[in-house]
Amino acid sequence: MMPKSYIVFKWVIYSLATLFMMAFQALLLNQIEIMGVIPFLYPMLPAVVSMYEGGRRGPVFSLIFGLVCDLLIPSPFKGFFTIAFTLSALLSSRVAEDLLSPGFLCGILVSALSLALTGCLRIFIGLLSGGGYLELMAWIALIESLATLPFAVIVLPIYGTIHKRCAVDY
Amino acid sequence: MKQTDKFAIMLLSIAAAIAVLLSIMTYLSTNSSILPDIAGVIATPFRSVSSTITNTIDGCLAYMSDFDALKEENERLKLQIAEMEEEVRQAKADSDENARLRDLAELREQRRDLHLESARVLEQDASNWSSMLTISKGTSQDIETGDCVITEAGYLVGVVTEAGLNWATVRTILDSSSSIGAMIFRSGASALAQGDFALMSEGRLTLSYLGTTPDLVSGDLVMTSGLGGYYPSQVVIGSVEEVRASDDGLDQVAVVRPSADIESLTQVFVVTSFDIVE
Repeated sequence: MMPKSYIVFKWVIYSLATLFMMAFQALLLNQIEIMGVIPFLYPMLPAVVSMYEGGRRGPVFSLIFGLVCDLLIPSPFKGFFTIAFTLSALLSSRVAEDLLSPGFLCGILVSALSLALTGCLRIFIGLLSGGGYLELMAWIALIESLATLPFAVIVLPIYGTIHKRCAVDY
Repeated sequence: MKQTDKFAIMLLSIAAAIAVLLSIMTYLSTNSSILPDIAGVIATPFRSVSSTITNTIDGCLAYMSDFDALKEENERLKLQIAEMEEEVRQAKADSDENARLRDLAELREQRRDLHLESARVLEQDASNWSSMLTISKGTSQDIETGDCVITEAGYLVGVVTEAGLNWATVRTILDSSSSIGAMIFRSGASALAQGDFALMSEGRLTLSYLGTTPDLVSGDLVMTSGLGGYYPSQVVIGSVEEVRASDDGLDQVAVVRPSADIESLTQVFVVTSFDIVE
């Protein structure tokens, strides 16, 4: 069993990696457009962490990350990211436990699922608020997911290394 | 029920409770609730650094790639200035005539006095779903939710939707949930300038409630109506680009090109208060 201080240290490292990814989004991804849309990395991050850490800690991390996103970036309603990221984290941990063992392939799958889930929730909220344009919103959600998914090759090794190093050292 | 299912339900309940709590806090607070305010204050220096870095990089790239384009633009602007000077002379004559006509008709002249607060754009919301800005001033500079935001040329940018201590979020006129009372300058007809999700990425908005036979032509200037006193009147929104049937076919809508170049804003002015003197 890991000592408490070591567990705290691991989650501090995960948080720093997430901060780095947030800076990556703000400084680089927000400046580029792929297929007419801006890649949106955030939904992928809690999903990947939950895939590696599974069970309980991953989803709790995702809930906190969602809350931070709700406080910092515009969302359809306050609390949107908290709910969306918690849901995708629970889904990811279930996929990693029951379907595929944590790794690259599983990472791509949970990333795709989390992007799709966030997109579907956005469409649902958009339709509820009378925005219309179902087809257009679905198209943007699809393209956004496709444009973001390749960045899994950057996200997965970073979180994978943290997971492995912490597991190997103890 | 399995232990993991119980945990999942508990966690989702917490997430839902947080969402409800945040929504209630946002609904009850005038400008920004305490948590987003604290988060915004902490994030402001990072946003500022991020904005500086991206602006510097953009500036360098633009300098390298746009030199020829800038030369061309310079020539074009010189011509434009000459044309505008001619227009100013004409406008002066028109203004004098207008003043005389007002006197004759004993119309009361409206005088609008805008109190402005300048702010830097810290962050453009780079999302495919909304059009928002984060600016560098907040409640400590008397900025409040509902304040209008304009450019240095007086073109409407949007409305403050959330204001923290030293930051504020602005919903631009392109955002699909933006809606502002408008007026056609030429005809004086009232309409509603609304953001449209389908046009947002093209940098356009719509003008609706025009009726079935609107008196509109391409190029017509669209301004704020100021009806209700929520926003100042006669702030330029943009110009009509085309008029077409609405989706239901019962009405006409106009596509409006905003006068403000919203995507490349670096500085804006918040109308903290305005007087209508009649």
